[in-house]
Parts: sequence; structure tokens; C-alpha cells
Amino acid sequence: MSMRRVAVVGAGMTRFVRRALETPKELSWQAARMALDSCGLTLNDVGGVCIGSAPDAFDGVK
Amino acid sequence: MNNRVAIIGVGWAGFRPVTPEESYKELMYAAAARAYADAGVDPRRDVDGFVTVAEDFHEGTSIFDEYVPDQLGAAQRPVHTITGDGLHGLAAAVMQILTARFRVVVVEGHSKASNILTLPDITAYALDPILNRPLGVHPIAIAGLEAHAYLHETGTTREQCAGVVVKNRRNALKNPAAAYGAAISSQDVLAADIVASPLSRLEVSDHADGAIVLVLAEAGTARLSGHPVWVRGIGWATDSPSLESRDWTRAVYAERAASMAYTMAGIKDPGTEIHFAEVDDTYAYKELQHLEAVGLCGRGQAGRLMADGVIGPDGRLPINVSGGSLGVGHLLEATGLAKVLEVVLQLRGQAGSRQLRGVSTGLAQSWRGVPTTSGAATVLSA
Repeated sequence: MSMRRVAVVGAGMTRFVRRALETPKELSWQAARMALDSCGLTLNDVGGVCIGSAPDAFDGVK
Repeated sequence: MNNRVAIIGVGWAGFRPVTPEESYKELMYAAAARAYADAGVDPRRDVDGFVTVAEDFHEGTSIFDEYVPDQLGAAQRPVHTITGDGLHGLAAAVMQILTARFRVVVVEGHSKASNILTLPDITAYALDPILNRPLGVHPIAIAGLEAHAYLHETGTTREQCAGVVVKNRRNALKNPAAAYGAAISSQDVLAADIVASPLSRLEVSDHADGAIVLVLAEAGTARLSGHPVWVRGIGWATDSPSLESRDWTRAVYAERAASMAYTMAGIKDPGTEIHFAEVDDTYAYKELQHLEAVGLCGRGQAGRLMADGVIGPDGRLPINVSGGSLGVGHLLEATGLAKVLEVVLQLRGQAGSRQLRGVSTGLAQSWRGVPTTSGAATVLSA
């Protein structure tokens, strides 16, 4: 069994600012929108979502 | 995905309402040592990766990942901590093995709930901080609202929900690891204080301390082990957690998770191909709602199956023969692994006096608890 080959096909990133006026959800949405647009895919093409966020205390939510 | 990844070892420590003489590290060590002995593996020599499920706020440390390796024999090795239920950890381990870069992967989950003095406050911290948390709602009220919606929509009765508590607490009497085995009546359940209408205190699972460790392996290694239990399918899903827009009557996350697991396993008719199941019963109504969501019966039928004894230990479709969370105790992130543990023991024929006869395929399903709409499911076969 050989490893399935994997590629990054799209990416998005918000501006890094000292004090964003957007909520964390809005920032995530912007980056995800840019990533999908960059490769011409839609949410229906996405089989799974991975999010990295740690520790919880930084987000102020459990 | 048949016969590619198997559970080759299980170990657990607990489960008890309080464990003052042992730390979470000691519970993890005890469960791991037993799982490694059961699988016949040396963690430093034979295990290629370790996955733990843990929630920083339950542990009382930020970045809990750093507190995982030592007691598992995982120092200086690939270690991966997920803030999810145990079944999310199992899914991660399965995926690691399917990359063919890992032969043997360990999954760990634990609960030291008795250490947490402010659990409802921590759970309330999971509410949306901008729109929902300022309302100051006790998180269990969300379960009450959902229970009302489910009972109203399906015609399920409070008596049928009480029957789930009676069944699971009684099942737990035959499980030496269960913390809350008891012979109680429906009347006891219905007469108990209401904590969030319509839920009485006895319809809410109490927490327990403990740890569970599973050892997984790819097919070649698994076939050399004593009694592999194959992970035929696994799925997980999260619905929108928004209180404003979620479906309050259906467990959509469980429908999606089960559907994904069934597709992977090649299960066409779960009602006949699944012989028994351990489903989430954090609250009594949840067992019935989840039973319908995973397709083991039609919508609104679970309550009647309960009343008719079909999902009892001697029925056609035994559900939560371990005692479930109501009988074993709710184990925080390890809860899904407790479901898997029971399915493995049943499939191996090692379930003692609660052993089911003639079972070869079982389902384990989990939910992340209020206020989430996250869940996972896995199909296991001997």
C-alpha cells in the first residue's frame, strides 16, 4: 500500500492587523472564501475540514 | 474499507465517581499498560503514533498536548492531540494507518471530571461568545429545549425516556467497570427533581473518572494478534452549532456521521446488518433520538422499541448493554471510546455476564454534548 499523493490546490489569507474589527468567524470565512476562489472550487467539492486553533483560552471559547 | 485497520488491544482504568488517590496521568498510565499488554506491543518499540483526545479547559492546562506523551510511553514520538470526542481520535488514528506510514497507532481518552469544580461554567464557555453567552443560559437548558422539541415532534413520551434510564442503569449492574448501576423504576425517574424541563435529574448522566486506551494496527500486524476487531467504517460530522438556526428535533450530525461510516463499511441496511449498538445517552432522550438518526429504526419509533423491550439486553437490537453513559458514567472526551470498548468486548466474547450471543457487527456512536452539534460513528466487526 503506497501513500496517496496529496497537493495543496488553493490558499487564502486575511490581512494581519493589530486589532481586527472582524469576529474570528468572519476572519475564517474570509480566508476560506479566498482559498476556494483561488482554485475555483465550492463547498460542495470539500470532503472534510481541518481547523487548527489552540489553546482554547486564546479564542475565549471552549 | 473492510479488513484494513483493526483494534488489537484495549485497556481501561475506572470508572468511578471520584478517584482522589490517582491523577489523570496515573489513570492514563494504567489504561495504557493494560492495552499494551492486551495487544502484545511495546510502546517504545512497536507503536508508530499516539492520538489523545482532550479539552484544555477540562484538564486545567493550556496546550494539553504537552502533558500527553510521558505516561503513554510516547515521548520523542509522533503525538497528536485533538479537542474532540474519542471517536474523532479513533478516526485520526485510522487515517494515520491508511497513509501506510504508520503500522500501529494508539488512541487515548480520559476523564478526571471529579477534579472539575465548575463544569457547567466551562460548558457555558462553549456557547457563542457574542450572541448566546450573554444570555446567561445554563447549558443544560439547551438539552431541555431539544428534548421538548424531539418529544413533541415524534410523539415520544417522558415514560419512554424514563425507560431508557431504567434499562441502562440496570444493564450497568452487569458491568464491573460501571459507576452507576442501579435497580430503579420509571416512577423514580419521573418523580426526581426536574433540572431542565422536561429532564429530571435521573435522565442526566453523571460524570465518572477513568481512562481508555485502544491499540490499532494495519491488517498484516492485526492478523497476527489474538482477536482483531476490524474498523469497517468511521464517520464524523458537525452541524451548525448556532442555537438560532439548528434543527432542534433531529440529530443531523449523527445522521451524517452514520451515513459516512455505513458507506465506508458497505452497510446497506443498518437495521439488519448491525446486531447491537452503543449510542450516546448523555441524556435519556438522546439515546432514542440517536437510535433514529443512525438509521437503526424509523423516525419516532425508538420510544416504542424501548417500551416493547426490543432494545433491552435480551431484545432483538440491544442498545447500550454496557450501561451507557447513564450507567457507566459520562467520561467527557473518553465517552466515545467507552462505546467502542463495549463493542470490542462484545465482539471478542469477553463481556462477562452481559455477553450478547451471536453478534458479529456493532455500532458505536458519540456526541460532543451541549451546546455542540458534533458527533461520530463507527462500524466494527469481529
